[in-house]
Amino acid sequence: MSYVDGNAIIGALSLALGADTGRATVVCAACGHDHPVAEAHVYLRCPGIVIRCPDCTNAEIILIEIEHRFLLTITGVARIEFESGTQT
Amino acid sequence: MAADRAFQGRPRQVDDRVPPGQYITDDFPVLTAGPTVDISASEWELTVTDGLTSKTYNWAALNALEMTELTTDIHCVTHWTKLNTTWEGVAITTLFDDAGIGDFDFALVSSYGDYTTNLPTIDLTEHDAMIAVRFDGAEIEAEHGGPARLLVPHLYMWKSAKWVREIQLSDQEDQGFWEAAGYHNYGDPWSEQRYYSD
Amino acid sequence: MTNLDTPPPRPVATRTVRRALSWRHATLADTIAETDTARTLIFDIPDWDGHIAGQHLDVRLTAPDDYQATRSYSLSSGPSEQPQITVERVTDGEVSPYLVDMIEPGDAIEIRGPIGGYFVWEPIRGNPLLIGGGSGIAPLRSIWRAETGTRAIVLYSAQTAERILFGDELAAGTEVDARIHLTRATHPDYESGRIGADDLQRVIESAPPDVTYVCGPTAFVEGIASYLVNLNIDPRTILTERFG
Repeated sequence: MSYVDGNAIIGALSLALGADTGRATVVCAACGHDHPVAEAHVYLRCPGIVIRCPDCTNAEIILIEIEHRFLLTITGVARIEFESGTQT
Repeated sequence: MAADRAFQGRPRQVDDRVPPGQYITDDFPVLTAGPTVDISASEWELTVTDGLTSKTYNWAALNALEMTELTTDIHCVTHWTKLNTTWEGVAITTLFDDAGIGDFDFALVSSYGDYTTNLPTIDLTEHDAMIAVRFDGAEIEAEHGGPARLLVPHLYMWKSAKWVREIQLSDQEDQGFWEAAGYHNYGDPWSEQRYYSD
Repeated sequence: MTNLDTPPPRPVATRTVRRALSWRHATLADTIAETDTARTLIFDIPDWDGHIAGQHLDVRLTAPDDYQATRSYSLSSGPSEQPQITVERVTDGEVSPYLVDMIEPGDAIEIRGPIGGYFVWEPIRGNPLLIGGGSGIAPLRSIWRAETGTRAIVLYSAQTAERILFGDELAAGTEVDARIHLTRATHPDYESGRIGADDLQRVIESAPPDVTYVCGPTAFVEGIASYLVNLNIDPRTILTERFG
């Protein structure tokens, strides 16, 4: 199988969003499936990171890291939920 | 750290024939933005359209067109270059002539699955672009885009859409999967046009 | 009266998160040759505060010509132990041959972490069932080293006896009750063939888990998860980590 799961990209995604996305969940914009980012089907180095819905394979998030910038495409996500970090 | 113990990664050979930032590989790495599409030659169809004129080819119809052979280097934006690859397929000029479609500036190419890519029509008609059906003397494997893929070797390989399903010509430029995500709209390896900001 | 020139203090958790999630340098402190194809790397990481069982490190290597490669490796150390990862050499791999065969104590490496909040275990989750394929056993070790009280049950699928990781620890059976399956060879001490639905059923009936962790290659994880669901394990209590 050519995919891994979202566990592998939590580090990159967290840096991109500036928040810990370890427990983040997304609602797929194509099919409405609500799932942990960690359970997404992830295609790495392809040439970016493509995060797909585990139910319908819709591309939810595309994350490209170039030099000191992130290019984050979230058009496949209806909603992403993650901790704000304001709990101490 | 001692220099001889430093991380090197895969061997990266550079050459005059190799565009900047590229390294020669003997492998044919599989890179995919999504699941490998499983489509048989008997199910496969290609539609060529300009919005007014449209023609759909099945496997037999495509193979009935004049075939051409090409030996070329290919360059992937992930930095690998493969020299002297051999392909067999239908030249885009042959395909467009047969389909009778009009002269429009922009092309949007769609694959089975959700992949798309865009390029100026002139890059399909005035370079060695083809609908490829054989690589290295054999049928193209599914993971490399078989039974048929677009091949546009003068641009980065993300323009060479696997499992090609449709070529749509238009006056309007629409961006494909990687272009919309921030990769370069054109993708010339010799100018190292990887990202939109290059 | 608020001083409007001073921005409000950032929450502590956010500062901690930013620090943990940025690249920083670590030094290789020690290594353990686990098998002919795998090595454990033990690191000195500045500002290391421990980790939650199941979390991982991202590792980044830079070649002299500035080429970079990044990979993720699970922490195989217990949460309060010195951080370590266990790397299996992948044939034609780009990074694993370097980590298994080349890097030596004293060498520097860039890491970020600890990372993860999904595939993690804390005591509040209850008794875990741990199922690993190949190097998927690595994060499971972090969990059985964390558990106090009952022994964790581990189902482990390895190709051959020579490739079993942490074999001595699993055989000793003090912290862990392990059933090891070999898929490409037979050995008198181990089960032959893949972990099947009946193996899972036996374990589940003898010691029903509160939470189940499945880690390994994608196909392995999906096969096991599917068996578990068919055995009426609540999918919300199955946590998975697929690494391709």
